[in-house]
Amino acid sequence: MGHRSHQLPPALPRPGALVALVLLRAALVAGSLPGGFGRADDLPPPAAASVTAAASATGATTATTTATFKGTETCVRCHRSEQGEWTGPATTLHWREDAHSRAHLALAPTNERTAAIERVLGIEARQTRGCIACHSHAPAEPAVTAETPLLHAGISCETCHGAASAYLEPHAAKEWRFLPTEEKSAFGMHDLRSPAVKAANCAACHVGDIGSGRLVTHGMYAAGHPPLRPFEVESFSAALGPHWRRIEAKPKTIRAEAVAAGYRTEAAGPIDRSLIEGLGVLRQSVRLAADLAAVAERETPQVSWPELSLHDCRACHHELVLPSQRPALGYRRHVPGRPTLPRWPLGLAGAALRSTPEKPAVDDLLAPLLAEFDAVPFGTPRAVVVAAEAPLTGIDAAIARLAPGRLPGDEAGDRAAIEALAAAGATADDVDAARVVAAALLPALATSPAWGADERRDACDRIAAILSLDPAGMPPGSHRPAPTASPDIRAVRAAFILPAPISAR
Amino acid sequence: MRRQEQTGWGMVVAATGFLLLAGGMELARTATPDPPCPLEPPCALESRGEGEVCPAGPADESMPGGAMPSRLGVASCSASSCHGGPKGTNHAVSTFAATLWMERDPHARASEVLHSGRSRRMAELLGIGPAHQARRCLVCHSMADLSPTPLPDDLVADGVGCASCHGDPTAWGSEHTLDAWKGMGREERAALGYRDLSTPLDRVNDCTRCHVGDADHDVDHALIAAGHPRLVFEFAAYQKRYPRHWSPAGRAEVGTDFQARSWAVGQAATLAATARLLAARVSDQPGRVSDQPARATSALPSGRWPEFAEFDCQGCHRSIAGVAPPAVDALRPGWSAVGTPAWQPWSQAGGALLTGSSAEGDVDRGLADLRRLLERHWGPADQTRRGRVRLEARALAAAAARRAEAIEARHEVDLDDVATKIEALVAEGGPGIGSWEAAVQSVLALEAILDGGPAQLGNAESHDVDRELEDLRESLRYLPRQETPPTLRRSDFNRLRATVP
Repeated sequence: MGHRSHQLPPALPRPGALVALVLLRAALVAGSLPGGFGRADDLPPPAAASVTAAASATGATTATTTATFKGTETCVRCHRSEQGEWTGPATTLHWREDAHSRAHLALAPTNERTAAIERVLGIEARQTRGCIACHSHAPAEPAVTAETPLLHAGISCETCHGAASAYLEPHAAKEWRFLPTEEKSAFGMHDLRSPAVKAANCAACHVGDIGSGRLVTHGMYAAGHPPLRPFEVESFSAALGPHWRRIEAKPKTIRAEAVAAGYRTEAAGPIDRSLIEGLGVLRQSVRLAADLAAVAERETPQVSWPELSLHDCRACHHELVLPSQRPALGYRRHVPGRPTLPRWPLGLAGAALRSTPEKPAVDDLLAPLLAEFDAVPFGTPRAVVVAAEAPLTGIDAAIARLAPGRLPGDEAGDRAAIEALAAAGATADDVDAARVVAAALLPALATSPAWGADERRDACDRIAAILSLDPAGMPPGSHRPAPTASPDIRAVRAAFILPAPISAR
Repeated sequence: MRRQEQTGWGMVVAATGFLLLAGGMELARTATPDPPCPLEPPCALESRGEGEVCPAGPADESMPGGAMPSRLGVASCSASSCHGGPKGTNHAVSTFAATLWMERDPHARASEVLHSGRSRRMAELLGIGPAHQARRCLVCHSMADLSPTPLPDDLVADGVGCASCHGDPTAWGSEHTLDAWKGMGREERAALGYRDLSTPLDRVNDCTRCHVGDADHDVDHALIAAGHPRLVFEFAAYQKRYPRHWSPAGRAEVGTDFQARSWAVGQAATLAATARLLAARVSDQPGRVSDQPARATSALPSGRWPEFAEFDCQGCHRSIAGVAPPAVDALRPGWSAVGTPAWQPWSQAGGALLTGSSAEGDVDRGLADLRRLLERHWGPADQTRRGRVRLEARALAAAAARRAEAIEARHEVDLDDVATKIEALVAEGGPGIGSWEAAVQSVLALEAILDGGPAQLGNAESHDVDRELEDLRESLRYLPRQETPPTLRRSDFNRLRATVP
């Protein structure tokens, strides 16, 4: 491991402070609302910002900031037709099934929930920057006219893959496919085959990203926005109906070309991808806190701090029943009753950290930041900015360790990863953290030769049953709000205890 | 291991506390000094009278003048010839007040709870050592707040004893048995540390010390998160249910407006205490031991503000699963900025019932100012705003305290106008506060209005009303196994409310 770590330098730069500041000022300050919104027309074009943010998350240091959008109609000219094995009608057919293509429909005033949010916050969602940032493509992108506008007005190709002006020509070249991530980034493409890039890209909306003005504030939640649900990137995207094929599923000739080109971007197997993405999601959660703190520190008191949405929902939103699970679970030596970071990413990220040679504990990694929440509720902006540095550096180092991936057929490595995941589940102190771990664990465990077939099935069924998951992983729609009654965390932990692998008996 | 031993010993003490204490005082007087002081850290009482004995036992020889007896213990009041005599109808209640108290009063068992499994877990989470030895707990669960040094176990076992409410009797214990005492005025007695509890105002100011809290008696959010129940205090209701150890004859109880007066004075004084506590909490910046130079050299705030215990529990602690969107904006109308918890809904509701019109002046204005300030910017970052919160809180505390005194000074207190405020407070869509706290405060106010007059005189017509009131109260009761109020259904409340005249 580690021979390709140059791709992901240990200290990834955060999005340019200036860009973050400009956008956040627009998103939070200009709005007259608590937790803030700005009007769409207040804002600078977001294109440059989102490219910068995503590119910096990939570690590319040569990101272009001049890319412009070419529009979905340009993409589908090739990607909906049979022009070779990299394109085909399947690409756009599958996209029609993908809920992202309809993300903008949530902003329609006919949507009951949206109407309620608009009423409470006194906004018009379709004109509000904070809503559009995640529910639609960039305003700068050309409108769709010929192709079904209704379908393509939501998240567009370029929303995820990056503004296409610079890569449109080169990416049609035969050599493009096996270029390393940072070279594709230099053309403005988000190389979503890299797990770290993919996690950063998904998390930009599904966790939040200050650089691109994407933040579901607590005011928005309180007005009725549904909770951003915990998610595991691999199973979550698989459940949407992929419009891509993994390198291992491509024709033999292409696999041979990949080997010849030394292509390793997605060579990590599914377990490693899950682990890297788990770290990427935690990284985004920490970065979000640090970036917003940086803005709050400069802008105080116009930007309100604390922003409650940075914190674990369940730290506050739990039932006060007797006997309570809260005191029973303890507070990990922290001051009781203080909101902390979201806990749902910690299980999977913890398993990922334990899969690196250094094996740091996730609690230790985050300790400097958590100490600030002990010092004063929510921490102070300046202290949070400083205290987030070490955890971010540590997470980046771990991603760099895992990114090159292991060689195919590394059964001992697979077994160790499965055991790390099971251990994370067996020590989870949060049901959602356990669900995310399970989503990564179940597909791997179900096919692992390290345990007997009956043992694997029993364990998968047990874990899936207590967490209301499909035994094969996270079912479609599992990002919807969980059932009201949470299972007892102690029973959840017990379900993750695996028998010893066959080789250890 | 050591902790287990101490806990075990504590439990023995708790179980047999009264037996041990019955003759405790006499033993202390006759003890022959010498083994070293058993207290850790050693007792540091500075002033001791001639021939007096250390409360923990033998005298510390380094102390000049020997030692003095503690009068804190219940035993110093409950001698059978003083207040601990046998119950009976042919002698004054005061001769068996302590007997009644020990028999019925939950305060007598206040420290026992510190040995429960729940208390042990709380102490563990807070990292404060055993609960029954932790000052943090003992200030309210015993008389530890009256002593600069740790109380010995036998005094801890007394719970919230006589001295907690009546004042440390060290200076007046002897005097109050003399004839001269009867000739002394209120101020003279107070100068000796005696607390006169004859008026509702005297009493409520005593109760709020623990039941609301102050700088030294603080049930903060860390304590609650570790497992302590939240504090919800309404003086008139507490007083009504309090097992009395005195005769009502010749006291406030026989006043024709006793219940009404207690309710009104109680609300004002409780609001004052709540505001004083807020001022203390927002000022609190305990120095943090830190090795981070950035913090050490900067003026960054550190400490515990925002103190979550200042805010509406349900503002945060409510389920976010399955909240139907149309219901969302109907939640807590007129409360606070969207997504921000309201300040002390219990006291706000009480204050609104008590005053509730712009004509009421200072208290209303103070409440409104404070609310605006707290609900817009309650974060830790802004020291200037914290300073303003402190000022506003002090102003409200002073205004509410003045109001409590003004009500107490009235010849006659009636609550006729409160009934109309209840309607406004709970009205759907109205400017009032639609919350569980408001509903419960309303029920308690109704109770006070219906009871109206003197204690224990009853009301011949009250039977049906009592039943309706009981239904109303039932609808607001905590659900089984819940430590938080049920979600208030205002329509249900209004329907029940309409059945009560």
